[in-house]
Amino acid sequence: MGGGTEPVTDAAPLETALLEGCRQRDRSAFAALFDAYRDRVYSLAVHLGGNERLAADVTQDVFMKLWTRIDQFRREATFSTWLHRIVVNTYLDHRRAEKRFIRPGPDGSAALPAAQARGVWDAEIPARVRAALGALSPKLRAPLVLRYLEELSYQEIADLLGVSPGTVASRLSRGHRQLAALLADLKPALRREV
Amino acid sequence: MLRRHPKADLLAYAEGELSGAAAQSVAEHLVRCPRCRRRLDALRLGVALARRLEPVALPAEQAAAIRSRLVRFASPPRTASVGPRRRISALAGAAAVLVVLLGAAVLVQKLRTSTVDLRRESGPPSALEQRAIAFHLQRLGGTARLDFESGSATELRQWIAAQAGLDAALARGRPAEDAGRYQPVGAKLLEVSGARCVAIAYRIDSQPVTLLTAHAADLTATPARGLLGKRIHYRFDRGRRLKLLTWTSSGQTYSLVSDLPQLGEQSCLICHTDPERRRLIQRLGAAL
Repeated sequence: MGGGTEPVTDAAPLETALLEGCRQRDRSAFAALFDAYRDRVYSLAVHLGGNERLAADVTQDVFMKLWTRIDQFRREATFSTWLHRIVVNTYLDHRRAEKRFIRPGPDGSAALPAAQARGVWDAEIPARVRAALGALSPKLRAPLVLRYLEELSYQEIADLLGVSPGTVASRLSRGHRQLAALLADLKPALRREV
Repeated sequence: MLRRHPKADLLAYAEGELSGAAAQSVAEHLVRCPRCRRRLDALRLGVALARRLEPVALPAEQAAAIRSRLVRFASPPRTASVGPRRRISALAGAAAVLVVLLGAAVLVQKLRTSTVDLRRESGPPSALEQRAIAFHLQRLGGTARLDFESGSATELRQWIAAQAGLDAALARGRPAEDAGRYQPVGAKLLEVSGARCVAIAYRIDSQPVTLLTAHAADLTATPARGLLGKRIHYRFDRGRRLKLLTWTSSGQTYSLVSDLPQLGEQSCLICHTDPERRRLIQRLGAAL
């Protein structure tokens, strides 16, 4: 986990105070909410979309929606769940808009770095995995990101994506196999984990 | 031992989340099934790779820019200082326009969609036109500061509606023929003779275009509206080689500045996606 993206410690009281501040239309609370969650939103968006430009647009849109729809958030769900839903839906909106009006093409624009002939630095692996994710179809990519980056359960992923838990499992399996095929050269570097 | 391939359980097994009898059954099947062993190898590598995903932080520079835009987005709209007399005259004007519009609604609507009444202007520019030219020149000189920057027409419309109560009719999606040509840049709140207006900055084929709009009722002088079709007033600023198109529509007055070819009519297409309307606009250049 990177230092700047650690979950907020003792999130509940802070989260409650920030959300209440936003409900009262307090801009400083909104700015603090952005500071607390911006990396998490961006990280999820960049992994879902496979490119930084789209992720920055999604991040901005997500917080605009948070501000305008804050009254729709009820404590029946956790803030995290609500946030995940907004990020995923905003990403899907952007993807649909790009597909419709800009140009057709692969969703993931992150180029795969060339495979290393010998030896891979441990620190390179996350970037290689992220780039390989960009080459997967969005259907396979989203469950992988939600499961392994956001650590959601199959049921939570199913609810977010509007599919059954069985479909989530099936897409995860296919995603893992495609990831393994794309990054087979990393197997020696991961031998202790495989 | 399982007779069928345990496809559904294999991922849980690879993740180490299958236990007891279920794990034992899968293990026994694996001993005799090379196909499932190969599948398990791939899943284990996939799981190990996916577990290496790490959060990515929003770069500080982008974070600061987005933060600043969000704070402005969240700012309450400024209230316009409109005096009672002016409000009454505005209401009276609006009522008069309403009566006229109701009387000829069907005819005007039909004509408005099929004709444009283009007029060349040579008198002094209105306050809105002067402000539009001044802001456009600031953009060309690199000194214009936008209050809100976004490449998204939807975001710009939301921001303008929230901040100025104006409807910027920028098309949310672009037809295929416009792909990559029209690029919204941002917006700035301005005042023209005490009236609130908004400047919308965008680019067409990298050429800057500036569109100012304000409520027609807030302006001291508005361009005459065409009875038979939308009336567009064209002005050419020789000194600066700028083209200016001004019109009033749906209660808002617009001034559009560019140095695009002909009349700069191409800049109108930022709002128009209807093919028939676009063809009509594209013919304007030959009309004068």
